Amino acid sequence: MLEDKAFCCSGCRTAYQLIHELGLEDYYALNERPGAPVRQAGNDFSWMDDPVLGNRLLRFRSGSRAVVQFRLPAIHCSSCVWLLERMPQFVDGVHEARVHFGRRELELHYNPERIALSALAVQLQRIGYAPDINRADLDGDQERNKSSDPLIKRLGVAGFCAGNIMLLSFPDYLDWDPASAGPMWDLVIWLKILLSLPILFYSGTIYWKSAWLALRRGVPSVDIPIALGMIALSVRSFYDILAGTGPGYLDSLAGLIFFLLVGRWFQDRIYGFLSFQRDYKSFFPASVLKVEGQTRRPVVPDELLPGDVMFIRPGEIIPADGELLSPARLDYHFITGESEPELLAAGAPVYGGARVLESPVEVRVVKGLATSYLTSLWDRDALRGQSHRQARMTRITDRFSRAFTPFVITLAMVATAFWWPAGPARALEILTAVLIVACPCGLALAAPFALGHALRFLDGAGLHLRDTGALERLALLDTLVFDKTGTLTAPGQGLLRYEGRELSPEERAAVAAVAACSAHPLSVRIAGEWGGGLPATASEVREEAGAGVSGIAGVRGNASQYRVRIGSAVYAGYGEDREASAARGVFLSLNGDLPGRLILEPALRSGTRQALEGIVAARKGSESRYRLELLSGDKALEQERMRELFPEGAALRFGVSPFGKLERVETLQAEGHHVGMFGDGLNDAGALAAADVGLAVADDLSGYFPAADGVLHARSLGRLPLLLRYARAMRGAVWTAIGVSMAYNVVGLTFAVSGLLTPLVAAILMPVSSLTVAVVGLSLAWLRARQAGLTVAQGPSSLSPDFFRPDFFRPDVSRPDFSRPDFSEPDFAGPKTPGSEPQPMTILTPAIDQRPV
Amino acid sequence: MSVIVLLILASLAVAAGFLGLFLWAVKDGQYDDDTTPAIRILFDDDKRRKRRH
Repeated sequence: MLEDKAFCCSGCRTAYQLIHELGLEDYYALNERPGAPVRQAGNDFSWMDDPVLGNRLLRFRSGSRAVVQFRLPAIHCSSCVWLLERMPQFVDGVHEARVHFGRRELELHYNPERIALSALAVQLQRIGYAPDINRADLDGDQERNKSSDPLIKRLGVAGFCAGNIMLLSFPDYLDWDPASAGPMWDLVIWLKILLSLPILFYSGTIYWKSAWLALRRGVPSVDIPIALGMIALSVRSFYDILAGTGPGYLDSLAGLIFFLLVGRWFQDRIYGFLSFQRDYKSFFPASVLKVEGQTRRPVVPDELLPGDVMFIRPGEIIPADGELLSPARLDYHFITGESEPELLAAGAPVYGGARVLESPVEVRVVKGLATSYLTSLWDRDALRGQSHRQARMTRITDRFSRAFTPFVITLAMVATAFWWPAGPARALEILTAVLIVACPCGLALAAPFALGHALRFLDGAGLHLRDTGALERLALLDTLVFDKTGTLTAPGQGLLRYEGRELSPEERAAVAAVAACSAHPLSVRIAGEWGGGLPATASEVREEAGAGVSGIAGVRGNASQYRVRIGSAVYAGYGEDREASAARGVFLSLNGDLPGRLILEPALRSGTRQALEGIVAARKGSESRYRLELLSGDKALEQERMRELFPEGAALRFGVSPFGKLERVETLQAEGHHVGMFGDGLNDAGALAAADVGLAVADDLSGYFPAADGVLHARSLGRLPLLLRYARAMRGAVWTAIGVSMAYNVVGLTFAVSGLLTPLVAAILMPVSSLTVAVVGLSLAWLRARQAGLTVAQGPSSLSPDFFRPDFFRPDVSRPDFSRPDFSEPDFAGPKTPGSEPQPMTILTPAIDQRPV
Repeated sequence: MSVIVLLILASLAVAAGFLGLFLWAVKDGQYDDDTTPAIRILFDDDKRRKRRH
């Protein structure tokens, strides 16, 4: 049964066997390619059995019932949902399993007395859905603690009240005469008053709070005239009704709040699959092994004190600053942007955020988590970034209301003064009428509908923005700053360039044969590119971790053999001096001869050239619209290539530290520029948070983007100029919609000022203006999208077939996966021989010069 | 004609009942996830009865 099926790796075969044993073969029937390659076993979940740590992961625990939520990035299709929700059938102790597809989460209700938490995680891993757990998960329901009721509840109540009030108001439009109505009049007015209370004091409280905050801060938010309108409406209505002078405007009040809430609900981004809310703790592991005497105990990284010794395994991130107790090779890409790992000796200082490669290492803690470099990077940036953004008022609606609010108040006072001679009562009537009709219902809906719809188009195009504010700021940018590694260049896809004397086909074949026996990603590349020529075999192959691989190889049928060495300059025999150990690239040695070296050049992303060309071409008048800059944490080795891509005069800076990037962005902002930052990884977090718009460029959307305003999918990088143009067009669309709403306001104000604003007029004006503005906004969003060539998103973009491609599980050959710090080095390309376990990866990168860290 | 008073009150009561059910559904988390039920609905019933723990 198994023999006629092909599997990409032993993990998948195991998963198949397991699923088959359980009689769950339908898993494979539901989709063409369910599941994802099972990454290596070896994730250690035993720390979950620690009562203190494990309990922090649980959402609920009491006696024989516990609830836990796991995030499973591997969930991507209906088969996943199907299989996971059948866990009660094949895992003893689990009695309910529920998947939240949008958030890629699994909620398990289980009996902790029958199965341990770690066993659950192991089971999940066995079927290919290893949970992703990080430090932020230990803090419990920080995200889900909603102190205020969900918007949809308020919307429901508002809809109920508004609909019924409007029905009860119908008689008033047709013929209002309290004398002839009898007892029914009393019933109707009291019902209306009763129904308006929930709207005023429950659904509408959002606006009271917001207006109050805006007043206190002195910000002319649009919520102030809205609150004024609500007050005018309710006061006037209660007075009219109770004094018998009129039917009141409660239907307009209810309608107003209902429409506003609809607008707010429409523009809300309830993302499941993108984690914008998380903070830096998502990048840290949930537990780290602390060495205590002869044993190692898992602890939460926060608990580490200076002097403690941590035991870090390959692929794991060092959580706190410390000093190495043995040599290690570290990857700092994550926090400095350097693309090449460093070899450090015992006693060297290391910083939290570095990833350990190759072999486990012990580190003595120097600074606890709270004061480590990584945390300080985050704290400073996050704090600075937030205040900066709030200070610059760019939201169109707020800008407009800065002029609109004073205008309305002035007009109201003038009208009141004008009508004063007719009696104070009449004048007050006019006052309230002006405030009522000036209440910017349409104005407040222009941006939510137009931009809310635009965000959905952008989703379909691969740009996922956090909220409509980000879209508004995107349109105002004049300076674009790019990170290099991982943003403009694609990790893992490099060009292998050979430098040195020409090699004969026999020599190439020999090198390829030796390289084919090594599991190192660079060896695999060499074997892939140089193999396929003359057939050659290798023998006596030996691999030295961190140095290189050697063997004897020769072309079949040819007598001559070569002693091949592939590796660092020192390993290949170029010398032992400092210069040799600092040399970059993979060096070759053939029978003692030293022909040359291979250099891996990271390839540009496929969209980079197109994006930069399009941006340079964008014009504002006769000048370039955008100023471009490059800020890279990497060494200046690729200057020429970058220089060629960027326009003349663009500043290219290399070797920039994360703080340096943040400072550069702030300097530009101080000069008055609106800065957009494109980056990836934590090393850009500061700049991303500080910039007016910070976009994370990602291959895989299951990472964490706490500092960013949005995520640009790497495949959409080429479309960037188009997306920027769309953003600019949408800003114009909002102004158009506001213009339409103002037209209605002019009509309404005419009625109000001349004393003709009956409840009927108000009741018609408000829904009609709201509807028109909404339709105009939606149509413009759609029209501009078509003009920009953006396709309509087929439903939520997270469900589009493209998104399901499990290519984010395709092993990353030369760079470990940064978005899931708990995973060890990826297994790639399957086992060398069928049935054998995948080889652990050894890094062949030659020694880099030892810089002081 | 005054029966309309009764009718108005009755219909409001029914509508209030629906509102109550709606609020209950929201509180219970029904609207937290609107993508997964769409997937679940397409599954066939299991051929064997699920074992209950």
